[in-house]
Amino acid sequence: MADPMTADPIAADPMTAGPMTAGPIIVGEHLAHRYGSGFHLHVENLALYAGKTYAVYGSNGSGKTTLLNILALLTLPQEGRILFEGRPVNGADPGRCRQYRRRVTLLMQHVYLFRSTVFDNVASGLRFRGMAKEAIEARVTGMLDKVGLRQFAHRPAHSLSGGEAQRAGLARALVTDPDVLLLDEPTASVDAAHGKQIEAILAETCRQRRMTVVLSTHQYDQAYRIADEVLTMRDGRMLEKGPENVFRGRIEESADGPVVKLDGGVTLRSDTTARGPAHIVISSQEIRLARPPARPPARPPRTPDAANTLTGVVTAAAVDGDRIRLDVDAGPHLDAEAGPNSDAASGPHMDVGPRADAPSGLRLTVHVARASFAGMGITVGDTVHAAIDASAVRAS
Amino acid sequence: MEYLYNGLQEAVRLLISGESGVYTIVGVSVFVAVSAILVASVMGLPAGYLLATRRFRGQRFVTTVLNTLLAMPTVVIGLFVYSLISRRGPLGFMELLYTPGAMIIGETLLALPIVAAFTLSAFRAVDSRISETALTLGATTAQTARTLISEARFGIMAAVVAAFGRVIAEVGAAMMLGGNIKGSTRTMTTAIALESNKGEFGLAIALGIILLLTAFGANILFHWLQGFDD
Repeated sequence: MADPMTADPIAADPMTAGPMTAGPIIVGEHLAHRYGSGFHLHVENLALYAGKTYAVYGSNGSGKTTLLNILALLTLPQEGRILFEGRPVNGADPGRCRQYRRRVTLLMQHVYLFRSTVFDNVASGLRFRGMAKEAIEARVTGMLDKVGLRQFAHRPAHSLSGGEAQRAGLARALVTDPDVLLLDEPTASVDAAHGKQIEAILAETCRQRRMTVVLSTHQYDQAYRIADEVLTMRDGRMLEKGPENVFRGRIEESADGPVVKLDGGVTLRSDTTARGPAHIVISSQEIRLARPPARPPARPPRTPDAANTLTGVVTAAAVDGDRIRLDVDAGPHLDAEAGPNSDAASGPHMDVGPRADAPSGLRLTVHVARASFAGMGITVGDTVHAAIDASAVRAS
Repeated sequence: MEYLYNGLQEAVRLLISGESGVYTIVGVSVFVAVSAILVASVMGLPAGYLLATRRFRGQRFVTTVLNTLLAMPTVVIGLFVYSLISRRGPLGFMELLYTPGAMIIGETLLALPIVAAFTLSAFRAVDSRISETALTLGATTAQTARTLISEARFGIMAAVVAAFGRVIAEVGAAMMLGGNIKGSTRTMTTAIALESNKGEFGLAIALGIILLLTAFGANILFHWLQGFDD
């Protein structure tokens, strides 16, 4: 808050007057929205903390845009509520909604620039807030400098290229100094060079201003490169929080059906119909853990429906709602007995484990229901067997 | 064909000298048309905006009626207003018949559907992201409306120009309501009708040239303005 422009109307906003709480800046509770097309968004719990960068990751049609539009109050959710600094905003009077929108802004995937100059476009948010002309001039010029568009200030906005337009849109959003910046696929419609530029601007500005950023993306690597936390969406739902088991790999055909060769050097059976390089997702709720017997047999136990069994060590355990979240390190340093399985006669079963030529292994996140966790008696440091169905190994 | 040639010569002479009250007639035409367009815009622009941005019952019906009114014959408008303001009509006491005021009423009724319908389609044509973008930037309802108007400004101007072109070139309502009184309600179109009846082609052709240029000018302006929306 050492900003020299604190005298401007944005800071004088009644909603900023409230004390900063340590709780989340935005909370979504039981958010639900249905479209006539049959699409149904349902997000049970969402908590966004100040100063953090979140990536909403998912394929097209997974509900990323709907979620962002709801968080920006462009779409009013049919059910549920949004709390900003602990106070509900949707369903509140229009004035409150506007105050919220002045602190939570959205950059749409396809930016619309007004029919005016680049300068006027970037100034529009400040003009809506009734800021003095000189202050606008100074802030807009500074922001145009930051995004590298200063020389275009007095050009018609419609003459900008796609990447420049995206940066102008970003500048227009950033110049209002929002507390929360929502970005819908900010780099999807620009080339790689512009994408890098936009990521750099975001990283710099958001760190400087302790801005909360929520960015949707269908690029797995971008999600993990930028975000402190990745929220994964599928079919309108948010998958369990925390690092999803997403790996880079290649899906290939083998004699026994499709196999996934992960970059870590581990090969898994899969039911997926996709082929070629892909991001592989293993749902953390579909991994079954078992304690190996006190005197281990020559191989990990075979369960009839498990196509893949890995051996690993539990490195962390944490309570996550009604589940326990375990981190399992199935790395190559483990002196497990399972090597690359050359025993083709063993049928659909495949033993997968550390290999001499594998540079690294798999770090798996596993969710176990509390009740069954208590029965398993697993603690941190234990060696476990993780069984993964072929159907649980999917291309993202 | 001799008389046509002579008429053309006479027309050029009149245009240069300004005799026979050529420019008075032009003045009355422009005054009536501009007044009618101003009144029609004050009512038609907000109507077009509301039709484009609000949802209400009977909206389709209103839109259909509006589009039908675009094809309203000007003599029917003349007849309608005449029946209202003639001495025996409900507004007869105002003694408006055969005054510029009567003509302005008629031309306003002619222009109103044009302004409203073209404004409606101008707002319908603008990008649906405009209001959303304004909202994400913290605009109030009034600021959002102003942004929309600003983005649709060329379409709105085109609506006004189109209405002007129709009003200045029509003869039916002007004749019936104005009565073609020299120096008061004689417009370019009514004068042309009268003068050619009398066989005085000079003045008719002179006014015809000005009318043609005005109509062409309005049309060119209209298409130029519409070109901004592509």
